[in-house]
Amino acid sequence: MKLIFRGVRGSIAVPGPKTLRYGGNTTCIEIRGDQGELIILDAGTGLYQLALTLFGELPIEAHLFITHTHWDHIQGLPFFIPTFIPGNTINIYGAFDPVDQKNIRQILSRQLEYCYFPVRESELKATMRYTTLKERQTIQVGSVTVSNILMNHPVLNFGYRIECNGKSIFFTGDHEQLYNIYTPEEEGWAEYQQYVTEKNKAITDFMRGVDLLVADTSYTIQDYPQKKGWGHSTFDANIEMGRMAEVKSIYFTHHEPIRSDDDLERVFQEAIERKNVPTLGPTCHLAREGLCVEL
Amino acid sequence: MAYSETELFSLMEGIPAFPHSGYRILQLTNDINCPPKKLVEVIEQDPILTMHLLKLVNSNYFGLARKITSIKQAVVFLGLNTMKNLALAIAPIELLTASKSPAGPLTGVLRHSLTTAIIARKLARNLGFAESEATDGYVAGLLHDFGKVALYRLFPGQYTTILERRDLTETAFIDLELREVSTTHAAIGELMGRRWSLPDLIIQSMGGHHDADRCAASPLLACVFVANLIAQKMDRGHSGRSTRGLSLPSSMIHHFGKDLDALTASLGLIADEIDHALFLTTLQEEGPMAPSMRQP
Repeated sequence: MKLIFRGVRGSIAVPGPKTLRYGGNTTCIEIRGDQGELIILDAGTGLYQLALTLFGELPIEAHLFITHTHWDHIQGLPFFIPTFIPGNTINIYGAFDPVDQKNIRQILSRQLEYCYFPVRESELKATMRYTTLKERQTIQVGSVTVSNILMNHPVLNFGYRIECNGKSIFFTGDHEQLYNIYTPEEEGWAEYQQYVTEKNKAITDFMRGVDLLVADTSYTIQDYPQKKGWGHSTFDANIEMGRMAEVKSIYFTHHEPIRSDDDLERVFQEAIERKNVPTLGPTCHLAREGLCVEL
Repeated sequence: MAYSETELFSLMEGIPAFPHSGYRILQLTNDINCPPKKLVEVIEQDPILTMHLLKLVNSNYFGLARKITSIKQAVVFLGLNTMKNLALAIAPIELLTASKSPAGPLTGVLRHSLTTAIIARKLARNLGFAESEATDGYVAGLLHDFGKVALYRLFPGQYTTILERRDLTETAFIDLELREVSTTHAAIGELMGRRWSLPDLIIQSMGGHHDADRCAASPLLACVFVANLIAQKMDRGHSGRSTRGLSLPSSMIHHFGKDLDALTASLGLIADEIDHALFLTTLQEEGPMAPSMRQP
């Protein structure tokens, strides 16, 4: 199995001289199974970069798993060129929207309505298949198994575990570590803490032992107090989560759009030293657009 | 013969308390910085709202791997924002049905009230009201016909017959109320609003929504008055009945500077919003697996 980062930026695409080394496209990860199966995690603007590499292998069958449908995770989808070409099959998977009562097809079709895009969903030429996933539903794609768990974000967000012939990856999508909304002296604290502990354990158990954890790391611990509750995590929290889950390596992604390449490397290095990663592990890396990791 | 105020107060002993939680949720969710524990507290204090939310999050559509048994647990497992938006969607129905699920004959009242609420809010926004005030207009629209819910509770037999007469004009409907139950939904609505110490806007809406001159005195009440007419027109048009007699009094045309057609046109595309709100009423009646929720 191998993984290629196609977009590593959070929130909004930020092309420009300050993001040249790590890239400005929003979230998209290409994963190839041992038999060449094409798994795509999220459809941010990085999906367009991936589309450009696929012409040599048409027709394709792609399996696109959406963590959640905030803009930065779906904005590349209308420009995923294989959807316009007959003979391709695009399988899209994602969560139900319980607030507006829409399945994944209805949510994504809105992107292709007249006022947003010139081509309607029904006019796409590829065979489009949609699967609205339930929590912990497992999908088999050739030699690859994809399963999911709900994470913590201001919309339903699935973290995905991908396994192929003994190798494994977990991608958090967007996720903030759970915390107690009560203070210890307040009445609701104990009950809430019990659920927080249970949910945090469920998440770490679900990703336990993966070779590669790809984690939303938008913030530093200095940024975090102002952004608590926004649904994103920090370098330090992810290192701790990775240790709890005994993962072998962590790739930090969903870089803050405001952070230049130099700043990103600096805050990464500070976190590595603060958390004593060289001694205590696990191996940590910054995700970079175009970076390929072979497992 | 009409009841005296004392007699009406005595009749109202049998009506449940006003569900303040629904109103509070509509207010709280206007504020992006609303403290999470405040929202949890308001929901938890209302067993009916709690039950509806738990029923929804445990439905197949969520597809959760485990059962959710408390609101705090739901917030941890589904996230605060999801629970906040679900509560916001359910609160209006909770507010309107006052602690009992909507019985069959009241379904039409519920649908009309939700439609009126959404239109009143839109009209208020168009007049340049801030979102918090537009929400007040929404609640005033939502509760304008609450007197009908009360009369149905008090006289289920007679009032069911009255509610079924959808062909009547407003005047004929009120005459029929006076003949059959000796009072009107506006009169009892206003008394209930006072008894529950609701904001004056809501009391005026409950009691004065048929009185153009009274409504013209307040821009938000005027929005409710017009919204009530547009909602009736939509309902009649939808069911193929005549819309004759549904026109705007000159005081209202003067107030808005537009006639009913122009005001309807100014609403833009709100059909989706109304459909979504109405859909949630089917969810309350039929449970979370209502046929209308199935994938197209």
